[in-house]
Parts: sequence; structure tokens; C-alpha cells
Amino acid sequence: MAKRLKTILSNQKGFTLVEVMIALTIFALFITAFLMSQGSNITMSQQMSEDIMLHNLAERKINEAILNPPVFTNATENDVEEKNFEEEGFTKFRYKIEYKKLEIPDMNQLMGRDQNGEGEGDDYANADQNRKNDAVTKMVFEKLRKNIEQMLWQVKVTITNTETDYSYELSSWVTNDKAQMDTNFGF
Amino acid sequence: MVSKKLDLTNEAGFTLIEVLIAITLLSFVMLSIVAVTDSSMQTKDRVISEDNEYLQIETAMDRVNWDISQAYSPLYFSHEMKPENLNQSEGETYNQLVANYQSNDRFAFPSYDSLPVPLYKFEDKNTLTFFTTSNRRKLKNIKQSNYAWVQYSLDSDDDISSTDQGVAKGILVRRVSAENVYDRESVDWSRIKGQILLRNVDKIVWEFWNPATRKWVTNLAVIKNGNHLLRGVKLTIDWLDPDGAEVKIIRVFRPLFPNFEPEDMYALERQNDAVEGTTGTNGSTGSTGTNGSTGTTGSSGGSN
Repeated sequence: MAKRLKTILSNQKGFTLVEVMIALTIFALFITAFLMSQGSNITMSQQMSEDIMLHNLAERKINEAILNPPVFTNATENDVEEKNFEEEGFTKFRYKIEYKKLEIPDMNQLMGRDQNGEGEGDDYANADQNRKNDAVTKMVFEKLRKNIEQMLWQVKVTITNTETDYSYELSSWVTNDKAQMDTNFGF
Repeated sequence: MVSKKLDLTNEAGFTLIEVLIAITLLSFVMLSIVAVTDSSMQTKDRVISEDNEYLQIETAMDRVNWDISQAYSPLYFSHEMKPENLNQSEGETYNQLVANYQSNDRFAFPSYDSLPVPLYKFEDKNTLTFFTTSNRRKLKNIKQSNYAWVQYSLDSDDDISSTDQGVAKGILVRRVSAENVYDRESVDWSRIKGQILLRNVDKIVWEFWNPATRKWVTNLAVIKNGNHLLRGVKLTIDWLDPDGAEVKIIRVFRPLFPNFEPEDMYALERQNDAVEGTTGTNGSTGSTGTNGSTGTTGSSGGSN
């Protein structure tokens, strides 16, 4: 018995370094994957609640901006309001309200022209008449564009959490009920 | 036949010390594993419960938004009916029409197009009652339309005894009355089962947008037509989270009706009458008040 124990204890065969390393690596891989999934659960949940919080603040500011629009002038575009929230518990959030004139996209296409604003119809026999019509179309569309620019403005609200620098952006339309309309088309 | 490698007759085992060492080592490994899994379970529970609480807030606020964004009143696009330019029979019809509203608790007066103008109520600083088009029929063929009277109030939760610490007794409750919305009798809100939107509410504050002063006010009556239409509503809720900490929820809701000043149809009628009088076509069609959409071009027409 004692002799046998002696032989067992004196057995010098162990694992090689490589075997131990492989075992450790596999174990480490599993543990890191597990821990990372836990961590991402928490961060995703936190990010979601922060997203919701910022979205709500942005929505509140947009609603207030639509309810209480500024007097729109050409200077309104440069008039950026940037402040921290004043309510208790919200002071770490910063809001930025910007107004921008509406630019109608593809105005040339709407007028039936190509990208560079060149009209068509010069090749026809009655080119003079075409050019005259073209001028009228241009004038009407130009006035329409200006009127729409007066009536509709864009508002963008950016909310930033000053502690994490995480920000959220929301934009909408504001109507200008004091818009001066140009309805004189000359005919 | 027993091979040398599988020696089942070998009676040699591990010594006590060997077993003890193995158990000790194993217990350390197991302890660390248990600690990791336990903390992850706790995180999962916390995340789920927190998310559920905040989801509850979002759902409640969505509900309020849904109702207020579709708040309805003819005054958004029209104005009060007045006895103007009426002949004998028209005057009698007007008197009959208006008499209907004398004893009416839901509607105040007819609008220019004879639509009933609802009467909003804001009582005890907590209870807001208004008329909305946000109702949707849940069952086929029931007598309901999109119109409904909706009431939001802060009730006390009777399931919670007053000695409970860290819990507020208030619950935000929504009641809806969607049947017979044009009934003259007032809605019997006490018989309507409320839908609990949010528990653990400490305090709510309703504020209303006053377009004239550009300020939030807590009294509907100081706003012009405030009892008949909403421009903007700000709701502040003091809510206790499961740990008993107070969380402030501030939201601004806005009806989706575009904000514009309705044209004074009586002034337009007078103007049209004057134009007709000067051009000599002295017809008796003084009450053509259907040109509401072209109201803005009326002034340029007069200069011709």
C-alpha cells in the first residue's frame, strides 16, 4: 500500500505547459463572452432609457416651439437658442433650438426644367411666345416659392446630456401665421 | 482477461489530504462562478423591473398624448353663431337652436356652421374633462363613433394603506364615455370604470397654454375660449420609483389642429353684401356663407 502510494506520488507526469495554456484560453474565452453579454445588457438598457429621456425632452421643446414661435425675420436663422433646462432634475440637459428657412427641393424639376434651370422650347417655331410663357412661369413659381418660404419654417431641437455628451435631434415644421403673402401676380 | 490498463482490482484511492485539497480548490472555483451568475441574475431582474416601470410611464403618457392630440372643438376652424342678418323665420330657428344649449351640460353653444361647441372642464386642480376624436371602436356594430368624452383624474389607490412608506397613494386614471356623446345630461363619471394609467403618483399639475399672453396658466377660464378648446397642455407628474425616489415627468401635449385664427364669417358676409350692393345685383342671397376656404382672397376681390 505504502509502496503503491509512493509510486503514485512519485509519478512526475503532469500536463504540459501547452495543454494548460489551451485549457486556460478556452476557459477565459467563455468567461469573457459571458461577462460581456451581461455588461452589454446593462449598457443597452441604460442607453435606451437615456434615448427615451432625450427624445421626450426634444419633443417637449418642439411642442413649445410650435406653440410659441418666434417672430420670423431673415435674422431668425442665426438666432440660435442654447440653454440648460431649468427644472429640477433636468439641469444636466442642454437644449439648442434652431430655425431654418424651407428650401423646396428640386424646384427646377417642379417647374419642368432640367437641373441647371434651363428651360426647353427654344427649338420650336414660336420661340418668342415660348420664352414669354417661360418668363411668366418663372415669375409665378418664384413668387410661390417665396410665399411658401414665408409661411413654413423648419425647427430643429438638439438635446445634449452634458455629463455623457450623448445627444438627440428632432426636427419639425413651424407655421408663420404673420407671413406677408405676395399675391400680386400681375394679371 | 482483465487488461493491465483497466485494473479494477486496484484498491488504491486518494488520501484524505488529497481529497481535502481537491474539495477546497473546487469550492473556490465554484464560489467565483456562483458569484458571477448571481450578479448577472440580479442585473437581469433590475433591468426588467426598471424597464417595466419606465415602459408604464411611456404607455400612460402616450395615452394622454393620443387623447389631447385629437382633442376636438369646432372653434379650431370656426366661431360662435350669432343672431345677425336674420329674418323672422331664421330668427325663430336660431332661438330654438340656442335654447337646446341652455340646459345642456356638455355643449355650450352652436358654432357658425351649427356644430355643437363642447364645454371642457377642469376641476379641483386635478380633473380634466374634454371632448376628443380619439375613440376607436373595439367591437363591431356598437353604437360608438370616434368622438368621446375623456376625463383624466388623480384618484387615491385604496389598496395601499396610508402607513406604507415610500409609496404614493395617487393613481392617474383615465375614464372615457363614448356612447351618446351628444346627450344633454352630464356624464355620470362615478359609474364609469377608470383605466389606471400610472400608480405611485404623488402629485400632478396641469397647465394650459394661453396664446394671448404666451404663458402657461393653471386656470382654463382665463384663456379666451379656454373652456372650449385646447392649444397646448403641459403635464407635470411627481412619481415615486420603486426605491421611493421622486422622479419628475414633464410633458407638453399639443392638439393636431393647425393653429390659425378663423375668419369672421359675419364680417365677410357684410363685405359681400356691400360689394353686391355697389355692383347693383341686389339679390337676396345674403347668407351664402360657404366660401370659408376662399376667405383670405376676399379682400383682394373687393378692390376690383
